[in-house]
Amino acid sequence: MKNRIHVLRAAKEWSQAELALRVRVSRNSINAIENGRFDPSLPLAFRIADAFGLSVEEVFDKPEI
Amino acid sequence: MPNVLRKIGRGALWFSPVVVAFGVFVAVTPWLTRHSPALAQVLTATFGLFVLGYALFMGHRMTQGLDEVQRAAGAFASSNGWVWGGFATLLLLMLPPVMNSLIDMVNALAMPRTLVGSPGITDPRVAATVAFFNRRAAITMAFVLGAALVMVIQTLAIVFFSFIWQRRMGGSGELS
Repeated sequence: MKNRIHVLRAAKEWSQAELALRVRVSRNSINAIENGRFDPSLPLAFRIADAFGLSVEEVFDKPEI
Repeated sequence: MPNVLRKIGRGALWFSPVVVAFGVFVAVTPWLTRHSPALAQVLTATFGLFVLGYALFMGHRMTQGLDEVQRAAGAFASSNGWVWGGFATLLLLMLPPVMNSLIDMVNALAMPRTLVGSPGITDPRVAATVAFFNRRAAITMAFVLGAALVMVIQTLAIVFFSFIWQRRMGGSGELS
């Protein structure tokens, strides 16, 4: 699933480690999600969106069905 | 680098009870088989249960506090590791040198050379009883060591598949 985590992180000047700390996962997990290699669960997607103060749709692209 | 060393050290420390138990088992079993074959079988079963219990404990402990990506990594590694580790063990046992060395090890542990053909045992009934218990001990030990080998190979396979998962997930990412 594509997402805008990298762009949003850059705008906030957060490192992957900093975002990982905010959403309570490991840095490697943030890296996997950011690169679209792992689709997060809904609760984690909400936590990531909350960390940026955005809605889930603004962070994650709607996957094609 | 110190972090890596610390991780390896911590891993070795957690793994050490199994190594110590195996060392004690190998050191004590030949002597115990000579003096009390029944007790040797009890020790063999206890060792097998200890390894199994400790593996379960370690598995439970290691999954605590993991996030969902790490849990998915663990699920991927263990599901593949169990299957391919078991398959690899079968292939390994088909190699004559491996099988022969395992049989030699079982024989050395269950039937110490000092007992086989010992001049001290003159009564044929005593000799038959001792031989019976030694055969039983050898079979029990073969099962226990076989199960231990399967678990070791499966653990190595799980480590291998964890590495595969890490590569697939894009390595360690940025360092900052």
